[in-house]
Formats: sequence, C-alpha cells, structure tokens
Amino acid sequence: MMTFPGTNGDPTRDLTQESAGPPIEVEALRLRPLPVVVRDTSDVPPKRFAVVTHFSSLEEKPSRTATVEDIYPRLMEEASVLRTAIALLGEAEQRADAAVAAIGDDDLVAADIELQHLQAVLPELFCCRSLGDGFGSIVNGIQIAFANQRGLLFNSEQVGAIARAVRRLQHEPFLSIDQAVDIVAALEDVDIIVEPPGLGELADLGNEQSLS
Amino acid sequence: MSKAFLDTTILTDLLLKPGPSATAAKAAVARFTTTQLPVYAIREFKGGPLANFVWFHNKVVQTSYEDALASLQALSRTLRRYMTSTAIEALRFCAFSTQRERLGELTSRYGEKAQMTSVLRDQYRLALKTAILKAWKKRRSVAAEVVEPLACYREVEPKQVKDLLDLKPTKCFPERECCLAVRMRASIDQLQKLKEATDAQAPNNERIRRSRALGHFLRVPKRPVSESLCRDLGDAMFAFLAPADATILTTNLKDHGPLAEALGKRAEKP
Repeated sequence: MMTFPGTNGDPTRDLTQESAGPPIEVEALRLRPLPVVVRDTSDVPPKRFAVVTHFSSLEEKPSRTATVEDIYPRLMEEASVLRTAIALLGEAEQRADAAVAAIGDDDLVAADIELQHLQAVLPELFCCRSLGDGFGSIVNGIQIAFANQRGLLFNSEQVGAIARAVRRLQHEPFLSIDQAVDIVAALEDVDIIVEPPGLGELADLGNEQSLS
Repeated sequence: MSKAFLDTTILTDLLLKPGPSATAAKAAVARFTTTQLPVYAIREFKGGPLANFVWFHNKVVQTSYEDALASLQALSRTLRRYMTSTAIEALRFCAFSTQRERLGELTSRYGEKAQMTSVLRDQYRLALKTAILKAWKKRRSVAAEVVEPLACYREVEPKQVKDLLDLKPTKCFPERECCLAVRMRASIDQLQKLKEATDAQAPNNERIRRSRALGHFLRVPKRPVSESLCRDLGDAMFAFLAPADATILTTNLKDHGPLAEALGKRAEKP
C-alpha cells in the first residue's frame, strides 16, 4: 500500500506550490506497481522538504554493497590524480629548491642535474591536467620554458621563479586560470619564455578588416 | 623629457611576441622618460592580433591540432599574409617531442590524457588561452599612462563560452557618431595633410581604405563619422592623436613615418 501522508491522501496534489511542511513519508512496496504522476514543474521554483522512504516488506537482501568508487567513480579518479599530482609537485619543488641551492654554491652541474629531474616529472604532471586549466597552464608553461631553453641552464632568478610556481601549485592545485595567468606572467617577468615558438606569428596573420 | 606614444605594433610585440620582438620593444620603451598608450591601440589590438589568437585557440578546441594547423595555412593563403614555412614548422614544435617514449609509458596509467594527440592539443590550447588572458590583463601596464579614452569603446574582457573564448565586443558603439568626430572637424587641415601623405605612398589595401576614409570625411565633414570610418583611419589616427612633443613608437615605420612627418611629428622604430 502506498500512502502520501504529506498530501492528505491526494497523490496528485502539487507540493511544489505549498510552503515547506513536516517531512513527507513515502511508503513503498516492492514488486507492486506504483501510481506514477508525471507533472511538468520546470517553471515552478523548487521547495525544500525532506523525503523519507520506508520499504515495509523488504524480502530480498542486496546482492552486493556499492562502494564509494561505484557511486562516485569520477571523484575517486580525481582523488587519485590529485594524490599523484601532489606527490610529483613535492618532488619538483625539492628539485627546484636543490637547484637554487646548487646555483648559490656555483655548482652548475649539480643545479642542471636537479633541473633535469624536475623536467622529467613534467610530462606526468601534465597528464594530471584534469585538475583544471589553471593547473594545466602552469605545468604547460614550465614545460615549454624548458623546451625553449634547449638545454641551457636557467639562471638563479629564473629557477627561483619556477620553484615559487611549483610551490604555489602544490598548495593550490585547483587554482583558477586567472590566478595561473599571474603566475605564468611572473615567470615571464624573469625572461622565461613560456610560449611555444611561432605562436607570436599569429599576431601578424591579419587585421580586423581582413578577418571580418 | 622624452615621451613615447605607443602604437598597436609595439603593444603586440610586448604582449604577444615573447623573445627578440618583446625584448626590442621593451628596450625601446625604456629609452623614453615616459610612455603613453592610446585606447585606440587597445581597440586595434583586440580586434586584430588578439582576435587571431582567439581564432586559433577556438580552432584547436574544436578540431585536432593538425586540423587547426591546416586551417591556419589555408587562412594565411587566403589573406595573402603568408606565414613563413619556418613559422608553421615552429608551430609544429612540441615540448613532448623528445619524450614520446615516456608518453607511451604513461598512456597505460593515464589513458587518453597521455596520448600524443590529446597532449599536443591541450598543450597549444592552454598556451593560447594563457597568452590571450595574460595579454589582456597586462595591456594597460605596458605604458606609464593610458591616454585618449574613447567614449564609444568599452574594454570588455574576453569571456569563456563553453570551452571557446569570445572577444566581443571588438568594435566601438557610437551613439550618434564617433567620439573623435568633433576633434576631427576642428582639425580639417591636419586630416588633409594626412590624406596627402597617404596618397603619396604606394597603394595597398590598408592605405586605400585610409585614403578613402579621409577623402570621405573631407568631402562631407558635417556628416556623422561612423565606426567603420574611424577604424579605417588606422595608422593616421596615431599621428593625429599623438602629442606634439611625443615620438610615435612603432615597428611599422613605413606607414607611420610619412604620416607623423606630415603633421610635424616623429615616429621611431625600436
């Protein structure tokens, strides 16, 4: 038997038109056809009320229990990506700091070795770009910066800027693209080129009149 | 005290062309005691160079990177603005190109996100998006002051619509006519000189448009000045708006030089 206590027995009564009242209890029976009322409420603002469902004759037990992964597969995937990203960023940060220290000691070979290790984690970090465009933009900018260097060593100021960018990303992996733009601009301020070669040529492609 | 009046080419070099072009522009700007950027340059920058970046960004979003490059080559041929093969090749550059093996290894863990086509596409999409938003954000900081505001132009920031970027509006919206019309009517003799200087140069599309716009205005100066007429004046507007004691800083000395000279002003390359 199905009752709609909150509707005074009238299942067609439009609850969305009424103010929030006490919790509505819906008693449902398994394997018995239920009356279905379809109502278009797309233009009706939603009201908040609690719905409690009781299964009074539960004869069957669930065959298996759903895991969090079953219910939120995307969430779990993102959590795994986040864990990987944070671990890789930690490694990148250590490498960057070690490179700064090595440059301070005038040990350029040691500094370059640290930066080589930092560069090596970037492809995997870029695979974590589902964390957001802000994250992706910074990793991409650093990655392109390395490629633009063509093996030449960054100076201490530049390595410091990269270390700061990595640190910020580790603390705020979900930062917005707007925040990321400021960080990329800070890299540019120390003469790091964060854009792929040839991109600037696009600017000369045409002007307002020729494109319109 | 020396004063530079920056044109659109310098703004573009500073904001969208990292490397030698930006370095030269920065050095040139640093030579002057003070610098001014007219809003007219921001308007031209948004409707031209920045719009090209947005066009390519949206192509990359909607197609593969290879298809976007093919569109770029086709457009470059249509506009007769041939990008050099070196430039196109440079755009094929990929920071991952030396790490393909590493990507192969990552594919088993990250799936599509580690596949070359996806990586390349996102690499350029993000580089373009960052460049566009960064350029817009920094536009007013390239000069000591932004001058000559345009009452009929609104500096609306780029918007993201789904995954695409939208720059509109890029044009002015004059109520009755261009906000510079009154000043133009008060300086008919200067506009006459600008037309003579334009006509003295070998014609190209841009100069033909400028000469036609100036001619139209000089014939019927009382007629409302439209948005398109103001836009077609292009480089002539910089010579017209630049203070008498300023040097117009441009990479396009060929056009700006004669125009500035016609009004007794100076233009200089970085």
